[in-house]
Amino acid sequence: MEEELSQFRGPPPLPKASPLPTLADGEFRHVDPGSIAVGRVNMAIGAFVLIMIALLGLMVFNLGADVTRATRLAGLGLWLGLVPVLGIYCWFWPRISYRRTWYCLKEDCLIIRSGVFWKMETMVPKSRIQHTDISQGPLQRSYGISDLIIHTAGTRFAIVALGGLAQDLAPRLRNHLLNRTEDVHTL
Amino acid sequence: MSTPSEEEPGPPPGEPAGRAALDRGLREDGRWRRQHPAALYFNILGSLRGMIFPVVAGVIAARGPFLLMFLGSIFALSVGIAWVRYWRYRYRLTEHELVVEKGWIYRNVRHIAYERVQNINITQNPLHRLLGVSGMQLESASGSEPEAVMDALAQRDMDELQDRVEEAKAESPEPEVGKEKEDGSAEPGRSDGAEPGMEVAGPRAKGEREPRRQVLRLGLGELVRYGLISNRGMVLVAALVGFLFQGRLAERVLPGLLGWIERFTDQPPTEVVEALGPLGWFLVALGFFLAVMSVLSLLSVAFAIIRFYNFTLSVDSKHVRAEYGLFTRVAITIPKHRIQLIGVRANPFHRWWRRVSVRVETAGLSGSEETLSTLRWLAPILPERELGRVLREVQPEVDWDHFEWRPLHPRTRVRLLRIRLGLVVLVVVLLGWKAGWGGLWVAAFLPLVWLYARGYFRYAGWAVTSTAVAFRGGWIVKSQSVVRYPKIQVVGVTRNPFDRRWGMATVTADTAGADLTGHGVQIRFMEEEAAQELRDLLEDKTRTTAFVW
Repeated sequence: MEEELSQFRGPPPLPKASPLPTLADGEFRHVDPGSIAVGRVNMAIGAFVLIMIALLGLMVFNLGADVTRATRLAGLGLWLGLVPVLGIYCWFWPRISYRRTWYCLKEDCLIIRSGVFWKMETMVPKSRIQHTDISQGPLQRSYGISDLIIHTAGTRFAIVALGGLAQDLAPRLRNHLLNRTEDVHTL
Repeated sequence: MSTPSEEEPGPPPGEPAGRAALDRGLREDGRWRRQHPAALYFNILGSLRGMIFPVVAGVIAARGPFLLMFLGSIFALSVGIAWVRYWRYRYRLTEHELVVEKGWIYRNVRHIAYERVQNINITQNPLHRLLGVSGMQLESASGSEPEAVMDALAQRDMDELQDRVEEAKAESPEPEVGKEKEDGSAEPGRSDGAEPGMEVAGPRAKGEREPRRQVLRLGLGELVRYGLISNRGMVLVAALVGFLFQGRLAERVLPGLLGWIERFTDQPPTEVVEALGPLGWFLVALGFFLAVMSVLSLLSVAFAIIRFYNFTLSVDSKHVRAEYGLFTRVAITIPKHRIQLIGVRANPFHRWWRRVSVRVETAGLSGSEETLSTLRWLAPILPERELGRVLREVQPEVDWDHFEWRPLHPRTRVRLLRIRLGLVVLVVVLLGWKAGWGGLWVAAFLPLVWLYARGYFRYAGWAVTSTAVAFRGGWIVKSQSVVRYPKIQVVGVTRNPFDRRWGMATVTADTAGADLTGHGVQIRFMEEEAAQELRDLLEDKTRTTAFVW
């Protein structure tokens, strides 16, 4: 089956019964906006841990015998400055990242564009998909978001992930990619 | 097949009668067999090898009769284990599949359909040859290790196994091998009535094997060249140097060396050192260096000859077969369609002799050099003028003579130059800060940087044909990688902030089983429009083809 499957091309399998007549239209779409909120909460948790570690470091540093008052104040100022900076970062980054992420489903491949500074476009042909995962964390579940993870036989792109899909869309995308029409169980 | 009553090994003792009956039923289409008894000896040798450390420990720790008892019990244990392993390993050639049963406490039965077998790799070390047997590794497309490994198989059994596999393959031709489908000659059920003179392998009559054509045979001259080029002896030197420094041997060796000088010249070493002078020392060092290098080269040549003696590459319409080795003969056959990438490489020594080396990447088995189970080299060394011919034999569908190489972004040279210039300047400044003008010697790298940027840009390029995409690059070591479209898994286009500033992009055609440290189709510094064009082309070419291992 390695050469061109011209005889197998053309109409998709079961075109009339297909549950997604408009999904594979070759349009670039954003993922679910709910992923912004998920990203914010996730990053906020990370930022909180970072701030606490910094606070701990500051306290240990202040224990030193020969630390002057001025350095202590400077340290405290630095720590206080960290909070709004991280706050702004956590607020805006998920949105920027969301705006720069697109996916596009075609009849026989999936294209993902992502990256704010390091821009990346990956094209996975349907025929190269080995297996797929749909994963959902507790936070994502509360926002109705799930990730579609595609495993290929490739090396550099062995795993291609499309995060932040609406949870009812992810299985539909997966079904399309695996040429399935029946509604396999969702998360 | 013989009748059940003639079976040599009955069901292993201690099994319930129902099991025996079941076995008898199964034996209708293929009797259980064991490996050649030589496997038992190989097994014993193998177990003994695994017990070297306890034995050494025992010899160091104990003396007298206790030692003898200890060694005796170890030997008995190895023999016991080997015997159980041999006795409980049996296989059966049924109509459609190979069944392998092994293990004693944990039993394992594996069914391998003949038509799923990808390779049968055969090794013969001198002991094998003495006993007229061979070792075998059998691979199907899955997994990272061989599906079945046998230590010793009599020639007759090996032939039978190979015939079975060949037959099964002939009856159900692999659909993935290109051309055949188009001209319809691979339709199942068609008899062996292919027109005479046709190179295409249609289905064949049972037992008839398509003859292989020899494509390449490396003589001793080539192997000597390979040895000199690869210079594996350098590895030895590196290990030795590391050992010397780590073991603080240098501290012990140096006084000994000085003492030796004293005895040899009958003068105190300090005077000898002075008498020689800088030029003398230079000559001594040079002589020593040359002596070491020539010994290493000789060693390397010897390695090359032992490893690749009588390297022959042969093909039929579907397979590539390599055979090589002086003491241990290796025969590896892989289906052509398993080749994911072909890499051609030449370092300055290669170019001096007008040689190249040709590497293949096969998916699936990511065996290391030792496990032999995968084909690594189409040719460890190959005269440049033979390259086209060999490649055409291996992948006839690729238009090897008509690569139209297209250059990278015209400003690649400037970009490469500028980054490295900046780096050199930075180092000079930092050194200048610490060491004054003494840091200026780093500036000697500037011409090198310029040469690199120029050389890289000149050679680098990409090409597309109707069946494959190719990328070449490198400065001192020049590499070329060619991937057929059906073997591309994922196409990636990346642009980092620098790329965007320069209007460049990187296009990657990812393949299975790629060597990430090696050269692949990852084209950096492409013009953005060209990258887009290539991306679109690769999308068209890959999504309409199916991938089969």
